[in-house]
Amino acid sequence: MSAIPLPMALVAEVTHRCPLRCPYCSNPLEMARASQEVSTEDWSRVFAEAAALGVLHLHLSGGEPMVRADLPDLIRAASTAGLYVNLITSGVTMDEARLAVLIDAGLDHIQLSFQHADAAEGERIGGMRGAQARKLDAARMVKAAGLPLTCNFVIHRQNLHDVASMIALAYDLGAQRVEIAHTQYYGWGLINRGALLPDADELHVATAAVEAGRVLYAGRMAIDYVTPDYHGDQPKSCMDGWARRFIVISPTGNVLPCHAAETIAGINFPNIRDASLADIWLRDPAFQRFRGTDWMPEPCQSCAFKEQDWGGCRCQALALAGDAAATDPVCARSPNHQALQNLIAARPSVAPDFIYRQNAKPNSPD
Amino acid sequence: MTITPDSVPAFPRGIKYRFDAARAVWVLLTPERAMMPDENAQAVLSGIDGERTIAGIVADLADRYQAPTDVIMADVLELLTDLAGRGIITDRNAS
Repeated sequence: MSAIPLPMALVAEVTHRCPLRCPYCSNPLEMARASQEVSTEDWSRVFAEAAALGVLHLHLSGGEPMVRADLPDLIRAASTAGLYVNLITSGVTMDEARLAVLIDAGLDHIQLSFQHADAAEGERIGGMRGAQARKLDAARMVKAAGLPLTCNFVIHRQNLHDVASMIALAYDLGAQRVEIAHTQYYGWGLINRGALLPDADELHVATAAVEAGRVLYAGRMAIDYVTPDYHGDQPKSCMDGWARRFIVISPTGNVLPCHAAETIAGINFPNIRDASLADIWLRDPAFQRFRGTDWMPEPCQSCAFKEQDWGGCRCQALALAGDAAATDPVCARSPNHQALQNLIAARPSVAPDFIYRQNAKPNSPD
Repeated sequence: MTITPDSVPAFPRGIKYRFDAARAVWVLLTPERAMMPDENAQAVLSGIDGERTIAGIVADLADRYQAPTDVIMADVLELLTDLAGRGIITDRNAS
């Protein structure tokens, strides 16, 4: 095994609680309760350890991170440690006083999530009435405070025909960047896959709208496009490779190489209450399990692209091929590739009703 | 934004420039990226404090590296014009 690279970014899922109920939520089906969440003190220690280990960006995520009353303390601890602090929020609980406190604590950037450009459709998808107006207000507050803003739109078969309006809305709100991201099929997204998965024609519509937007807004707003799972012949470099650049920490303190890693049975993930982040990153067997290329089976092992896509996604290999150590079935060289094509072709012709995320007691006290 | 010798470059909110002890390099952090500037860019970026003009920063560099001011000025204007175009620096002296 060659030298272990230093981690670049930490995604801290500080809670699973959320006022929204998006049917593609990446949180696990079994969500952590408030009483199980990592304390302010432990998060603060972890942020200092992360910065010392080489982490540069911290993404505060969830759930809705703003439901944590100690969010300003978390931001201050991270900023003091030298981390670049990005808050990923739905914006529905934002107000001007709260935002001012977060900025004063050292917040660097906000990524604001939207379910649609259209209010009624956005609120149907997110499962929260009145959410859109609050999001629009939140965007205006962020801009008024002079903080850089990224708008994030998650797309799927039920909203991808409106990508052009999403890009236009982000521009009107003053975003420096808009992220158009296809849903991923883990957690709630896997349960709702039939209601979310685009076919090739729909995918083409969304991609064409992104390409047109990039021309229209060139030099004024950056457009990031997260391509969909399942489509394509070469897998995405999931997380840029297992335990190469990213650390994800769950609300209960489990340290993971990706959001969905806990779906892989048979791997015991370490907890920040039991070890230092450096020990975990450098030595924990869960982090070594799929790191680099030694673990790879054929056809990955002899593939010229093995250090580009790092074998694709382990959780997707598990979900589609039944084996986390298999070649990602998106790869045309995978023996499971045709089965995946059949699965896309067999998607229900009419999108079934969403199964909404059930929340982990969003109103329970901190 | 036009960057001139009278410009007062500053890092806007949402941009961080700091030393990363783990890698022993200076890093320029934007919302989505971490850049590691080369030695020449570092010398310029380290002179940015939100108060000095580019002319002041260049004079200091010319003195420190014993190099002609006009050559350094051309390089610094090119670098900072590029960074300003990407929103990584702003000009506090801009009207």
